[in-house]
Amino acid sequence: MARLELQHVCKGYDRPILDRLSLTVEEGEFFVIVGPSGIGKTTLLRCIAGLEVVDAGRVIFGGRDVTRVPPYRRNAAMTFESYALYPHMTVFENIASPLRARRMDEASVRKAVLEVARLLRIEQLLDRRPHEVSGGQKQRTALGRTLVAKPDVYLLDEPISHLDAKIRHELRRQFHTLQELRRVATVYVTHDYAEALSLGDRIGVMGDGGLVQVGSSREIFERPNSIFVARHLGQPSINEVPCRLSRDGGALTLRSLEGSLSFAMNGSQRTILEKVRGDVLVGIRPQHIHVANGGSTRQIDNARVEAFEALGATGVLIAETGGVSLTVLTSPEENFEPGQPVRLGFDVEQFLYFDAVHGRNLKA
Amino acid sequence: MARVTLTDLNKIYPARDRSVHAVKDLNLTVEDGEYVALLGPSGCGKTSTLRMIVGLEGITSGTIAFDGKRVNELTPEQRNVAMAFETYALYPNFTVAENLAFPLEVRGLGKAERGREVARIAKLLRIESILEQKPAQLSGGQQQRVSLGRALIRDPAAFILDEVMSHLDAHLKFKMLFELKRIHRSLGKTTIYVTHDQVEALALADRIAVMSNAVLQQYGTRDDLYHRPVNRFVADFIGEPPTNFFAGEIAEDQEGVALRVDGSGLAFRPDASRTAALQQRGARQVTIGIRPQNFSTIASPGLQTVSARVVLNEYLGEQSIVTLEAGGTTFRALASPDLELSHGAPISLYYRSSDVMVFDPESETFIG
Amino acid sequence: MSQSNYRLIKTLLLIFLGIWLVFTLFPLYFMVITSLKPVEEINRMIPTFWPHTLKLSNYAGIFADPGSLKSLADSVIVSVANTALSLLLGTLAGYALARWIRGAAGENLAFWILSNRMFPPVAVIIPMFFLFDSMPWGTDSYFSLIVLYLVFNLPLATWLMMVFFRDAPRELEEAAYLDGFTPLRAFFRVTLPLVFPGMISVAMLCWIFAWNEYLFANLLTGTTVKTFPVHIPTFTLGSQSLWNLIMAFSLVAMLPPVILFVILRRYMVRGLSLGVVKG
Repeated sequence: MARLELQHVCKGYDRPILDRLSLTVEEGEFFVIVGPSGIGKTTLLRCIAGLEVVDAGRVIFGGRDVTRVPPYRRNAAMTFESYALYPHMTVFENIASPLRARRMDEASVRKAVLEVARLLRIEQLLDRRPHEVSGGQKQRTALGRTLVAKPDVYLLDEPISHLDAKIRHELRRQFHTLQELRRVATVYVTHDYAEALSLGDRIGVMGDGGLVQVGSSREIFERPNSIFVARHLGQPSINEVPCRLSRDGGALTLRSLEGSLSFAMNGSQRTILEKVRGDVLVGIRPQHIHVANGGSTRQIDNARVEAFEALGATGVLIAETGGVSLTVLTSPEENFEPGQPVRLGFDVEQFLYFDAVHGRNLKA
Repeated sequence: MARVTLTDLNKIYPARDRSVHAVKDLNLTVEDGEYVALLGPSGCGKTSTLRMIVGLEGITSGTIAFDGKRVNELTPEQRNVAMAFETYALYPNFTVAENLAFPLEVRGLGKAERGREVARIAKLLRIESILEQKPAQLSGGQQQRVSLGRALIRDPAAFILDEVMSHLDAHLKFKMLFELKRIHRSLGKTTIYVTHDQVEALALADRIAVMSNAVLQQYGTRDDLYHRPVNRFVADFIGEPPTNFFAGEIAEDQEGVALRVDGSGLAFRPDASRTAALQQRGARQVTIGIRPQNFSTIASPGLQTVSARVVLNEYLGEQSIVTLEAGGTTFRALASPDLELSHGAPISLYYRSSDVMVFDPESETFIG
Repeated sequence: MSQSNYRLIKTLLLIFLGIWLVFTLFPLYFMVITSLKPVEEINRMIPTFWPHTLKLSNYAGIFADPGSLKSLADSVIVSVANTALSLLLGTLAGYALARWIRGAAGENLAFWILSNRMFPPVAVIIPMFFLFDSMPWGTDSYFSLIVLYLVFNLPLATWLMMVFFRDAPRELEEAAYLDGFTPLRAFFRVTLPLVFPGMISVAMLCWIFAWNEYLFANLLTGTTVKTFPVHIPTFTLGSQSLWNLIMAFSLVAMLPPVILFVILRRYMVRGLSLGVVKG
């Protein structure tokens, strides 16, 4: 049992991938790293596991400095994106592998493997080879191999990204309910923001060089510290409207640079923007615009439908108002024809404001 | 442009020990200008169907007709269908413009005419700025567009798109969905889109053909598949998060017909219009299905209610998936992300009785 | 393509295959019948393709000569020892080249190792003779042949094993490190089983070379050690070659490779396709 600390970790090949990255994952914490593909998430995991040697900085497991310790003496367990199951061994032997490494006696191995297999519901597969089981079952076998090890740190690399939607839902629930994962420090890497929001006690959003923002799911989704974070989380993506602040006497108004969309600022919005000089990038989540039918929202504008698609549980409407194209989340049961006029209501309180140059959140 | 008709289509791959029946008695009509998706899990026969339509695969029995004319014996060139592949299959040593012009060059069009056509397609796909680049310099989304452009540039009888978006990441896929729909609207050509991803199929197609185990299960609009699935497979395959299924039985009380879930206090009330059909059945055992998004946490008149306890609240940003438990049965519901629901909290859920689906537990067909 | 065209092409293909089969199998057939002919029948101007008399006495004849058995035993000793050594050293070297020596240096090194196999063996025959002659074990010994064959087999084994190791996913080894296996234990537990089919192929190739090699064996050895290829030309009667005995002995000498190949064929095919089909 241990907490995991990274202190000023640097790692790079031809360009820095991790630049003075510091992070503490507490004992029992489920920490999710989310970011676009190719940004270095896996490299970070490999540095923690010891498969890569850090260029600078320290990796500490429960107070023990393991920076120069090889992977087989670190006591970290990791699942690979490709599962990395041993093809020449049965599912049983795959799961038992960490125990064989410790030369545990046969009876104890048997007991431990069966216990894990029961937990993951793969008891009936123990005699099969990895190529004889399905993707979801391979994933569970890989997970079983890490669970049986009772390590100090769990490292999970995109464990469910390659499975189809139904199995993803089920395995996500399993990650929630596995007490074993909640006992030690766990670092989970994914590119899927929904997975991150669902699973993470805390979430780190990774950008160039390291973590851009660390916080709870609500913090990073509702209060992103930069446009990069806001852009990466959410499907469909956040609407970005570059605007200019104008002050006429007492009134404070945001006008879009292109077109003629404008928002009057009142109350709390006002206090945020009061001191701002220059342009503002306004971020509006698609669920904070609705098709108004009366309604109680602050501001309503006339708009024209450009496109509409009914997906599974939601519908996505693209509508143009004041020369700006906006994405709106609706119910899938509605239907809109291109060219049709609609009225859009805006939850102005939920708007996010970013510095037009650096993309920093102005609320933060 | 053509109307594509498949009649009693069969495909059997002979093998020494056990031949594989890949497509069984398939009947399907794609109207002129219609956008149809062939949807199903891997190995359901959709790819074999597509290959037979294109002419890359022999037909065991049955007919394929374009505009009423039998094409079984025609080669892919003679059938004049254009196809875009999962792997973009661009010529790496050609520029984008040369890639686009290639199908025209093969047909012996003049240089000026080729240039005009390339410009037209590039404008439609919004790839004018990359015409002089080589495929290796392009992003995945751009390569996909060029590949589509090469299929679109000739004037074929039908477009066949085979899993064209499976290599794109989620954000890009979302943009491409709208692009494809816009392109189809502006061209209005018969399109058959093969995919295993229900979101793509639902978003794009006018009608969707759901296949499983070599058999066409249902052919209909998004509305049909969502509200009137022919069997449990379709109800389960269409919809994310997955549909909740319960084993239960038909019971009657003072308020009318109720569907009691085995081993729990849960009971769902079917729509009044369906009760007659349910009561006529000999057997009492049924499978009950209800979609997570059909539960609401807000009471309003005319809605039925069930009570449960919260097991898990997954906050996903735009929405939350709540896993609930009642008397040992767990199920999922979609809820607003603003709700703070902690583990063990009691909750009342509301649903429209018309959203309750009932299936036969043996044959798994839709009852009402 | 229409059905009848398809059938025609299939028929033509079968006919071609039949002709090719007759072509390749004829020498073998001729060997077999020659080994069963009496001595009077072997030296006719026009050979008999359908022998008048068939008898097994030639086989008894060759084993009456104690030198025959001894030569087969010598061949077994030399080829097995050489194969074991080639495989052991080649596997270790191949692993090192595949995993630990990176970049251009590794590529070049691997190439130069293989280049050892590219010069004509005749070019080094004289220097080799003097080299071995100056060694304490001399030229006419098991050890000299075992070491000499390494010159040819080791580069091949190293190169092939390097290719097999490169194709074995590195992640599996890393997974083993994380399970707690030291690099040495991970090598034996995970990596080696993955390349096992490859090792079988390499062993077969090395062994067949050592089993059949004539040039060096003839030059270096011949008295204390005499492998079977060197023994074959001794079946003579005056100036006349006894082809019936030669063929009978050759067929006996062919048996071990054929039997081994039949047994290990499954692994060999997998080993040689290891680089093509993954997973």
